[in-house]
Amino acid sequence: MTPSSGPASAHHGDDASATAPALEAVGLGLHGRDGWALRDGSFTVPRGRVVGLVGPNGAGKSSLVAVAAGLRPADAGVLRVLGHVPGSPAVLPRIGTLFQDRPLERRFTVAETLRLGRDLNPNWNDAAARAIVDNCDVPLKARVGRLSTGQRTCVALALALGKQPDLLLLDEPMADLDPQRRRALTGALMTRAAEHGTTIVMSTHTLSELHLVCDYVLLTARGRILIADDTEFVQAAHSLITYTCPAPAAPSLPPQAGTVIETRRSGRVHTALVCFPLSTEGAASTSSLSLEEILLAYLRNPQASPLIAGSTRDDAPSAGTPDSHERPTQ
Amino acid sequence: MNTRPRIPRPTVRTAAGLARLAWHQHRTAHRTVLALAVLAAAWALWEHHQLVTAVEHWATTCPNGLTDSPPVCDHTPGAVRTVMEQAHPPLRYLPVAVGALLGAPLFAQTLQDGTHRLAWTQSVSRRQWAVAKLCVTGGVTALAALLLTAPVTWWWYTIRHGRTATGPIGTAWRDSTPQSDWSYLPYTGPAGVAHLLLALTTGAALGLLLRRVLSAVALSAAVTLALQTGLEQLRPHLLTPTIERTSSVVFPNRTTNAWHLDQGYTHADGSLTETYNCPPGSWEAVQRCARSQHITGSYIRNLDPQQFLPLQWLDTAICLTVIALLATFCLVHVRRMKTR
Repeated sequence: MTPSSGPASAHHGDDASATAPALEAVGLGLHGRDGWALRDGSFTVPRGRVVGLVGPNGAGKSSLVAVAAGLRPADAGVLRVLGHVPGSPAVLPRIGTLFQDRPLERRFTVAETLRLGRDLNPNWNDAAARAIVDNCDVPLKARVGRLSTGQRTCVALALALGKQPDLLLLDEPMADLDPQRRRALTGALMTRAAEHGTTIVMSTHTLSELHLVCDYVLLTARGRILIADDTEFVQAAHSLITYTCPAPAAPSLPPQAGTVIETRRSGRVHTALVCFPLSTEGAASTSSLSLEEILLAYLRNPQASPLIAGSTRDDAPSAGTPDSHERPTQ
Repeated sequence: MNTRPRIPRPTVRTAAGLARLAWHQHRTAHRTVLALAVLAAAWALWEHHQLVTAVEHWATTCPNGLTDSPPVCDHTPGAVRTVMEQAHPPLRYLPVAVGALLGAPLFAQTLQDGTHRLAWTQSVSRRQWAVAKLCVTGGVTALAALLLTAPVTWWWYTIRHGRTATGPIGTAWRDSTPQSDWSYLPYTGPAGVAHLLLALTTGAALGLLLRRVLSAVALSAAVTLALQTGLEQLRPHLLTPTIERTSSVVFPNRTTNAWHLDQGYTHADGSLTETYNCPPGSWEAVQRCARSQHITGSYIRNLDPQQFLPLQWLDTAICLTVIALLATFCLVHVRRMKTR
């Protein structure tokens, strides 16, 4: 045995992959249907987090899932999954994927589909997979092609969870589920994350419920990663500061306010969403915002300075940004 | 990336799972192919019986061969016509059908539906998945090909041995069947199976490349036909033929069961020509004209009857080589494929 080859440490990887982040992107570029969906994206998703992947349609969320699942290579830069090249033999057994269109064999029955999962995955947990299917009231003998879209989602999710993966990549998992199934499946996912430390990355459009489920948010828009950080930290870092200006035409914000994401003006009342406020001097009031409001502000202002864990804001625009939203004075 | 961890070799359960997936995905096609093969084999066995009965009947009706016999002996028996003429077009175009209808959708269907992602995100490599698909449908094709090729080979064997038999039955076989049985070469023995497997692999490789069922079906049909035609053109050049010469412009007698390639005239220096520009006329006039063109004799080029089997194995080897190349392409390409 040559010392360089080392023992082939099957699929649960070496020491490096045991501590490697769930996802690590460096200069990641993804082509969308027309042009770049994401350019030069660098972020890290730590292990054991439940990550909300948020962004408008066409912002590269599904492409990111496809690249992480190893279906296609990144168009630029590098994405590492659990410390490995996506789709490599070391990582395939460790990730469970739910694609947006839920690819399943239409002529298979639900039982045959689960049997496929059992046959093709060494760590298969039949009880976990059946629990999902039972939760959704999907009959085992039914043909997959005859199921409703919600039921198909359940079967696809059962297949992903039955693998007992270390990382779950879920593309809009709740989009076509009724409230009852949504609650049941969310519960199952949260239990999986809590009991096994499974990292869950799920793309979603429902921002209002994001903070209930996710503890990490990855926001992408207009080809950039805007936020990649802890949800609590994101909430704590942003403040809505209200100023009252002496005259409508007067310059509004003190220059040392902080990184301004968005400003609104209504007559002499001037509000600014500020990230890392440095000083609240002169402010009439300061309030915190919901995660949804913060994310929407970033989505409205995709040129805003990004908030990415582990990186510094070197491209922060100066206070009183040009992309502020002026409300017409009455 | 200097150490490349591998997915452990497939366990029996994984291999069985992949095989089950491969069978289930195309189960209708697989069952249809096997059912059609059984029906065709039953018909071919029945037709063999008809053939033998017809020739035995001919032997009793036309005891003197073609000469001095009742007018019924001028007509080829129906069973002989079926076996030697009518059965050929279906056998000829069977690989085209296999390539287009079984081979092309093998990968193209699942790639078009997007269901390949179901298998590609389980704990098996794409290569294992592709091997399972090729092996299962290849196995079904090989089994169906065997079912069909065996009785067709029996036809050929009976005709060939009948034609070399002595006595009235041998005369009957020689008189009632066409001169050459070499048209059976790609439909019998190992070549019969290899040609169908070649068509399947061609269709599969094109389906993997094009990822669209309709375009894969169309192109597979065209490419399979082109491959079959190419092999037909190549076949006469694979073995060294025997040249039989005579010293007159009358061609030598043809050997029974030989493949008559071509014929022509010999010059005094031993060179051969196929053209002969003498108008038909009296024997002396023809002789005089031939002499004026320095033609001293005639020749025929044959592949001998005992070269049938070597040529068939050579044909099979060519098919198997192309199959191996195409299958390797599939296994290399499937790893590099990018999908959404």
